[in-house]
Amino acid sequence: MRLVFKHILYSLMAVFVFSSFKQDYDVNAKIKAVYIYNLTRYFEWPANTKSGNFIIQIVGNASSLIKELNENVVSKKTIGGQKVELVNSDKIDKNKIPHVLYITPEYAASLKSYAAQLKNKGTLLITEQEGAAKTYAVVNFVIIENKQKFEYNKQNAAKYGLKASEDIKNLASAVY
Amino acid sequence: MKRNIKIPIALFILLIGYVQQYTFAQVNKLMEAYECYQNRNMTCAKNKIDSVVIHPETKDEPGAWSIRGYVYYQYFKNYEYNLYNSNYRNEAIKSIKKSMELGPDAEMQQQNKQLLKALAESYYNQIKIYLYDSLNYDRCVDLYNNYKKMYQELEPSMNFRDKDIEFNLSVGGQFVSTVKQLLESGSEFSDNIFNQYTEVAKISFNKVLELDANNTAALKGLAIAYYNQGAKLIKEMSFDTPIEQIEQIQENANKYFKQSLPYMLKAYENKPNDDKIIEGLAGIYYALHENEKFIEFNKKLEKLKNQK
Repeated sequence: MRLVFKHILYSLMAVFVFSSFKQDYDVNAKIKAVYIYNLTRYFEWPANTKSGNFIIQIVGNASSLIKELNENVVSKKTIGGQKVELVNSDKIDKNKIPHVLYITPEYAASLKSYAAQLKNKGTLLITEQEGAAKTYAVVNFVIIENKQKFEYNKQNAAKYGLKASEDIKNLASAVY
Repeated sequence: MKRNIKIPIALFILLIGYVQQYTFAQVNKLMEAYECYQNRNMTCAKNKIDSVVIHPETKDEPGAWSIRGYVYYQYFKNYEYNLYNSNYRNEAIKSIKKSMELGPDAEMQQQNKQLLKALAESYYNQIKIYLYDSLNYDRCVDLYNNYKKMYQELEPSMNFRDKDIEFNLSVGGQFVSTVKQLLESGSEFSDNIFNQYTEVAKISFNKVLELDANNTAALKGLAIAYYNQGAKLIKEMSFDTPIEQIEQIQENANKYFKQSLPYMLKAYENKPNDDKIIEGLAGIYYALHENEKFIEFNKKLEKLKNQK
């Protein structure tokens, strides 16, 4: 009689689970958030907006951008000595005029309306729509050679009541 | 699961035949060792067989060494199965090799070989512990090399290509997944850990591609490894980064995203309906701001999901 000797070679692959590539971390939202925060250094807001919170308003669905700004700006930074407050709404609250208004591409068609509401109110209007820097935006995000850059319109800055540093012209990919 | 390995009866009968020339006391000890083993009294079996193999009358008896190998293997399984450098395993190997040197007959040789294979495979099985529990690459490689070396001695014609692929894919997959989890967790981790893990993943996947240039999992793994490097640069960008430097960081990240792309495209060629590959391509195009391509692959992904 012979007893069979048994042994088991386990497969490593049995527990090898390749992770999903799902983009839980949005790299482009981070770049936009860093731009938005840093752009504020190049503008001066009217004296009557220098008290209370510094309001950054996002128009449209931009959850990753909001998360970045909340985690890294709202909770950690001040702008011009003001505490930062983030608003996500497509309505402009007359009692809470934003210092920065970022309009997502899905709301680009309403740009003219937002521009009319914010004239001389001290708002840095940022868009992400082809040609917007030539019309109503102060800063317009563009993609050039696979990189996020921005265009700048100096006259629009003045229309919204902002004073801009001359340095920003050297940083923009196009100036109008 | 731990098993009590039964010493083959055939081996025992052979053993009795061999030792007839020896004194009754030594034969008795050997039989007692065998009985202890069968009764799963390993302490007793070990004590008795250890004295048998050092006695001048039985120290050159292949069967005694063979039984010692079984007893120590059982000790290894019972007490040190997860131990990287197990003395019991070392003793089991030494004992079986000694038995082989002493010229056992064909039957005993076969039994010895089987035990050596089990011992070789124990190295392979331990890789899981050092890969999935502690991410210890050096130990994984050592264990794998031990497994291969022992197996090659037993089966010189054995082709290890598939095992090499399995090992390297598992290592690469585990390291690249860990890096991705670190990136997404938001927890702090050192550059050193990130670079080390990414390098291990790349080396492992490249080894797979040397053996199988079209291996989809390795292609996908390399794509993720490069993507992670680009994503890390962006993730770690400080909010105080001057605007003029943001562009440079993007440029550096894009180099990795662009290195990632051809691997994922090749994986896509191999498996055009793999949702994870399509998701990966969408992600890379998104990072590169190639919006049309991003939308194209996102649509494909949606279509695939709807078909399921």
